[in-house]
Amino acid sequence: MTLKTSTSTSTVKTQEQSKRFYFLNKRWYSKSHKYWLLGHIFNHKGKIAIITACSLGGIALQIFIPFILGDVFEVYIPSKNLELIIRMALFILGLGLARLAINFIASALNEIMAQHVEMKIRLELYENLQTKSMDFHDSARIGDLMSMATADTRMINASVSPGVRMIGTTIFTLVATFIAMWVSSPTLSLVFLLAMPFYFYFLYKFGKKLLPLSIKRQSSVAKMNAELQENLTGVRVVRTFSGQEREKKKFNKTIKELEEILVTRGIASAYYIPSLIISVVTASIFLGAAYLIEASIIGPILFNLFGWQLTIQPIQIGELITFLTLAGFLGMPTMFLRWVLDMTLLGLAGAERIFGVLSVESEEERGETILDDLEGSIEFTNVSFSYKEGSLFVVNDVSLKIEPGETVAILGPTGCGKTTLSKLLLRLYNPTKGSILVDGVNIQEWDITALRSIIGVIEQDTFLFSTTIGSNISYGKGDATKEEIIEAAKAAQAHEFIMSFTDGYETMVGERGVTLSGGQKQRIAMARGFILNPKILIMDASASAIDAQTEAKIQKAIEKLLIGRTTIIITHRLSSLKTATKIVFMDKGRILKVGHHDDLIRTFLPYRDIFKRFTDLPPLEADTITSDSVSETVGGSK
Amino acid sequence: MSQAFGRAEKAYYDRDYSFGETVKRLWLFARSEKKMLFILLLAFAFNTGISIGVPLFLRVAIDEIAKTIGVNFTNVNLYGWFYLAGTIITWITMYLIIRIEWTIISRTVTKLRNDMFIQLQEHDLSFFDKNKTGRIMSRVVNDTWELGNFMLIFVEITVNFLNLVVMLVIMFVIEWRLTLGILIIAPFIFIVMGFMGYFLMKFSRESRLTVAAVNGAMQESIAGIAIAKNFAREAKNKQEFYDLNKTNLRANIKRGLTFSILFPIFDFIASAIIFIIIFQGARYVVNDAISIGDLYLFYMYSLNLMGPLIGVSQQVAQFQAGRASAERIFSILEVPSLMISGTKDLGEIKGQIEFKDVLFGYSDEKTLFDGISLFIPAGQNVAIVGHTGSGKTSLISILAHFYEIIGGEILIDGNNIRNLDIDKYRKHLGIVLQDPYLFSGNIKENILYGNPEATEMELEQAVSASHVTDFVEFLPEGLETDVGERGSKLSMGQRQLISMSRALIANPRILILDEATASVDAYTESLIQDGLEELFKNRTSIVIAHRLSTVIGADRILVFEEGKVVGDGTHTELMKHNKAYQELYKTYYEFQGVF
Ligand SMILES: Nc1ncnc2c1ncn2[C@@H]1O[C@H](COP(=O)(O)OP(=O)(O)OP(=O)(O)O)[C@@H](O)[C@H]1O
Ligand SMILES: Nc1ncnc2c1ncn2[C@@H]1O[C@H](COP(=O)(O)OP(=O)(O)OP(=O)(O)O)[C@@H](O)[C@H]1O
Ligand SMILES: [Mg+2]
Ligand SMILES: [Mg+2]
Repeated sequence: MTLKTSTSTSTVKTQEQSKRFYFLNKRWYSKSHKYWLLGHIFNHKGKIAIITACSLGGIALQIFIPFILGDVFEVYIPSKNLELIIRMALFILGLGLARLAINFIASALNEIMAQHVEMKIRLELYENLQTKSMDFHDSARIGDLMSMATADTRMINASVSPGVRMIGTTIFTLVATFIAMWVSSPTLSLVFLLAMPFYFYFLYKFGKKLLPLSIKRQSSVAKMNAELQENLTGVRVVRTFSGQEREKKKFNKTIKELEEILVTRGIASAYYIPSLIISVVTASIFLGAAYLIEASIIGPILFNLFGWQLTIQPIQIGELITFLTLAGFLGMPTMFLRWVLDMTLLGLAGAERIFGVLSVESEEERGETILDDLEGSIEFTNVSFSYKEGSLFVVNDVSLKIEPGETVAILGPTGCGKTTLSKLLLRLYNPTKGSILVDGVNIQEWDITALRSIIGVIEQDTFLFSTTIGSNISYGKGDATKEEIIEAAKAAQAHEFIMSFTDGYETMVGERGVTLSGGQKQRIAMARGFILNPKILIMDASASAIDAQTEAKIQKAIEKLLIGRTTIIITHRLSSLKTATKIVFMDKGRILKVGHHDDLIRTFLPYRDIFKRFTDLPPLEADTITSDSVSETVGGSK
Repeated sequence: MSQAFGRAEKAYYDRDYSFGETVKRLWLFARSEKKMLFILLLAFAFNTGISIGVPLFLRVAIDEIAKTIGVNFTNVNLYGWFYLAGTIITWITMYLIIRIEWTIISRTVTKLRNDMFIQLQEHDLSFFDKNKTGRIMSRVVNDTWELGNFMLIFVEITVNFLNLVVMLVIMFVIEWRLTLGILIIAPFIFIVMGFMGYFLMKFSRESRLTVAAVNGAMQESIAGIAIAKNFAREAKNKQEFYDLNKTNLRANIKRGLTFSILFPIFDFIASAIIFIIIFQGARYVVNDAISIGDLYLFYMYSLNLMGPLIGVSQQVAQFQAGRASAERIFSILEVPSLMISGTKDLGEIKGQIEFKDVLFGYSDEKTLFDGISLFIPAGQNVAIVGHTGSGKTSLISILAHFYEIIGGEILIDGNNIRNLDIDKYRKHLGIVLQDPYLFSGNIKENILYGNPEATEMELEQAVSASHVTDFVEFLPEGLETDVGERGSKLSMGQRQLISMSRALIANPRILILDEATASVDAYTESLIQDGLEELFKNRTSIVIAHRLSTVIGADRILVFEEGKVVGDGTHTELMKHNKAYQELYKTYYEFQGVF
């Protein structure tokens, strides 16, 4: 036995590092979801620079056109210089072409960038979910996570897509317009300047009101998603109990709630004061200017303000026109700003939801030990475990040593913790107390991928993917050959029925395997476990849906397969119990007894109870443990 | 090989809809929002009117001020006030427009989703066998959203189109030759729009299709996370997921780029119009055909033309892009349910079941039942045994009318189940499915799913008869314990027990247990067994089990083999005459024997 890499320092280091999963540079995670989103966007710094440059260029070119036009109308046409006029016309066409190119580049880059951001965030979420503990997945709802991967990422895309470009353009336009205003008429600009605090205040208020509504909206979408998802996956139950009407009512209520939120949010989004401010101020300036001009016909107006002598210069009509035109320029970006803000807030709401999931601590520190030359010994030492902190121990002080090559059968009442034991061994959960060693190495120190690939599980709750039967069997071994697949299928007594299907191994399986019978599903899951050729094989009630004849055949077929392998069989089938080298009898998380079938059937009353119903049992022998004493031990575990 | 997730493919029921078909269907939806849409149209018209009117006031006012001598300031001030009022009214109509738009979008989306959901409840189970959850969800959740915005297009196009026509008429009046000159561009615009529309539709279809595949993969990989971990397959799955996302990304970018070029092109068209005006118009001025003032006015109006022109084109483009979603929604709404069901309500039933020459298969190529006939008198306790895959569960599925049979008939108390009101009929059945699916929620909610009106007493009875009590009493939260999605927070056996309670609480005439205790330990199973006799009283019951020990006491045992009944009788009878049963029994006991 050799240790490839195992220095205690390196293990400790990885422990700290991989508590959380980082897709981007770590610093982007140090603050809020906004910062994280920025991190994703800043992956495209080059594009952002080009987009900004192009947008500015586009605006500059746009300003050019009116100037040329002015010249054409004021100079060239009156002077009837046809050649020059045509040249100017062509120049305008050329400018148009340049704008076409520049604008296209800007919006195309922005689009590409947004699509990438959306995809990257979805991929990050996906990868992150893979690293989450089973604890997390037990409590999460698929529909909710789905909604993050679809609706929320979509919203982020929608806010980034025009957002980056729009924000640049809008800010530039606003600033440029202001400067122009200042230059053309400082007096009038002053009025605008006074209005600005209100403008920004209401902009802020707008965002502030919309943000919680956006979050509400996105979580309501998620709720709908989750309900729909369960209605679809549980369709058999719904139908069995004629639940359609109830389901319709429930779903209707949910989408009605969503509708209400959408409408409320829509109203909030429509109530956009900044654009009112801009237009009212503009109109007021005109009105004020008109009065001023009227008043100033007599001459400059003098104000006496706290002893200060204030002179208001008369306003020129040209000044007024220029100013009004410029003020008109502000209207458009302000309207756009509403739209961009609306989108961005939805994107931020989505980002917040996703970031919330990303921030949940990831599964487990991964050790680095990878062993060559496996033997397959397993040792549980005083292992206790509960799924929820502070609740009852589901596994209670379990100590068990399994030698390499042994076949151990575990049995016990429903819910006594058999499956949990195998999940602990796979490190899907970490024991609350105690330790589990595989080949003498604590599984906490094992490289988790290596650990899991030497342990093959045929799980109790069969899950098949909706792909071909062949792909399902080779799931754990992507490079499996056709022969290997068939061999595994044969061992699981699945080859025959697979070949009876028209498409054989290419037959598509429905979601979770719905298009197969219960026993067929289990046998494919079995083949999927066999093909790995694992050192340690766990078979969790893997034959519960299989008839005795088929099971007998399977047992015969895998007899050879089990040689040299450590096998844990969780079962109530006598045939398996009889062949086991060791039987572990569990109750309420504790191991009550370990022994061989022949002994247990004679001496252990709870064990006898199981079988006495349908077979004649050998006479009870001395040193019997009675049910009474058993229940005492059980009582102690509470 | 070894692909965990499916590729992006069209569903078998997907079809292409022509432009006309799409519009017709959309119109049907729009009609239900007629009033709102009409109000929206008015608001838009009003808004346009004001935004044309306000500059006019302003113009007159400025002209007045510009006179320098003899300015009528009363008028100027009046116009100024009009102007102020106009801007406020514009803001208010804008507010109303956005508000109404959101109302229409929200309502349409809700209606679409509701319609789709209702339609989904109608399908037989073969529909769900063939279609992935994630992909169906993609339609209900995302495509509806795209379509919601669609409703507004009707109004927006109308407004813009009217606007366009008015502008053109005015321009024709001013200078028809120049207007014709500008209209030279029109064919160009149509060609561009045609191409754009084509590509937008194509890429949108691609994009919707591939995103559904991404959703499907996401859904499956979250659902199957434990398997991925067990088999240490995360890396490979990730690669596959990446690939699916890449395909989607490409389609999205193609679609996005097509949209990206749209606006620059229209911007360019604006320049082209200016070009024409100068190029052509300047000659007229030089030749003294029109005045320079006319030309300027013309220029101003042609700029106004751009707004609606861009608007119409943009909406046409959006329409083309949204058609992909529309098609996906209409396809799913219009795929007919294969279910044939009537309205007959039997009231109380006796529980007599008869299969008459029933022909059934999951696919058209192969039949599973080739004319199976069975008669189960009311009150009988029947057990079904047989190899895995022999069709036991399928028999129950067609009895419960989950699937449509191809030939023959299934009769309950002499009534063909096709004539029965399906909900009322199923209420008489209590089925413990082989796969004990639980909904997220607590244990109690799950049990009550079988009968929401059950009393406390009935609940208690169901819970104790199925021995749910045995484990619930150890749970700190008892019956209120959260079960997790699909019941993932419970052990397999516990799920089965709950699923049994759920069937029992429905107090059905016909009780069906499909491997109801397969994952339950032998001891608990035997306890349940003891109680079953009581439960079977006054009921027709069908029990499917591989553990023969649990069915020996049945009134009658049916032996299934490849969709046929090859044995029928009591245990003793079958042991005497039936080869297949003897064989089953022999292996079972050899295999399960204690010594
Ligand atoms: N993910 C989970 N979260 C919380 N509790 C759980 C979870 N999984 C199982 N439990 C609880 O832990 C206990 C042991 O469950 P386990 O699945 O190990 O039982 P089991 O012995 O395999 O039973 P069975 O024979 O029914 O399969 C049960 O009481 C169960 O309710
Ligand atoms: N939804 C389905 N779509 C297509 N084929 C199916 C579907 N359900 C079952 N089958 C096929 O029909 C046959 C009979 O399946 P069924 O589930 O009725 O078997 P069963 O007797 O219940 O077996 P088991 O004891 O394993 O549960 C099998 O070959 C199976 O693959
Ligand atoms: Mg278990
Ligand atoms: Mg079955």
